[in-house]
Amino acid sequence: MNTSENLFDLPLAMRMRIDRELNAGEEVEWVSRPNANRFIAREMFPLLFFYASFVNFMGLHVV
Amino acid sequence: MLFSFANIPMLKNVADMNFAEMDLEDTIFAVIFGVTGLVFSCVYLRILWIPVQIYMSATRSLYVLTGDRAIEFDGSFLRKVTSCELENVTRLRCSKDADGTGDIGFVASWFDGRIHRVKLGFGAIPHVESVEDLARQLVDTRQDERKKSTVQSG
Repeated sequence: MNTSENLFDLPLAMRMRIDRELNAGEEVEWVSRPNANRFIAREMFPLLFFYASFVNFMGLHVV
Repeated sequence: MLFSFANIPMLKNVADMNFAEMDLEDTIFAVIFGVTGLVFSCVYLRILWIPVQIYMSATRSLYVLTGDRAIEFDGSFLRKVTSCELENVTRLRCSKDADGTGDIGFVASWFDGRIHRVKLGFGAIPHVESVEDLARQLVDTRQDERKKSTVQSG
């Protein structure tokens, strides 16, 4: 199953980033962007705990 | 009511200060408190910046596999690019969620007079199993080619 995104469906800025990085003769076999919602959920979840504990800590000490 | 710092309880002492009559001791205290405030402000701003960084990474990152390399284009503010040669990959790990989305991690190490070690990861990519198959296939192909060329030249 080919799960690669079509290179020409990507925004121009992204294609230019890829073009700049590739060496001569090097061909793209697979390209993909992350699932943004999953990425954000996964990264933000622990951060929210950190924020909550931080606010709790500051609240206790300032007040 | 006009805005005044004196209305903010924590800043009342600052508002009451008479800067014209400050002596050396007051100045030293002012500098110490000011610098401390600036340092902590920087820390708070850095902490508040993290969600922005996460959003940028999520929406602007890009993962690429070529015949020779795995490349990770980070989308956050510094726009870092990390890549490793597939022939140097020593470990390839994959973790999968229930809906088929998952992560692939590459560890590459090689020796050219000193030891190099590069880690990079493709995070939250859809259909991770088929991507893992492709990556393993490319890694095997590249490493077989290297073995053959080493045997021929040796």
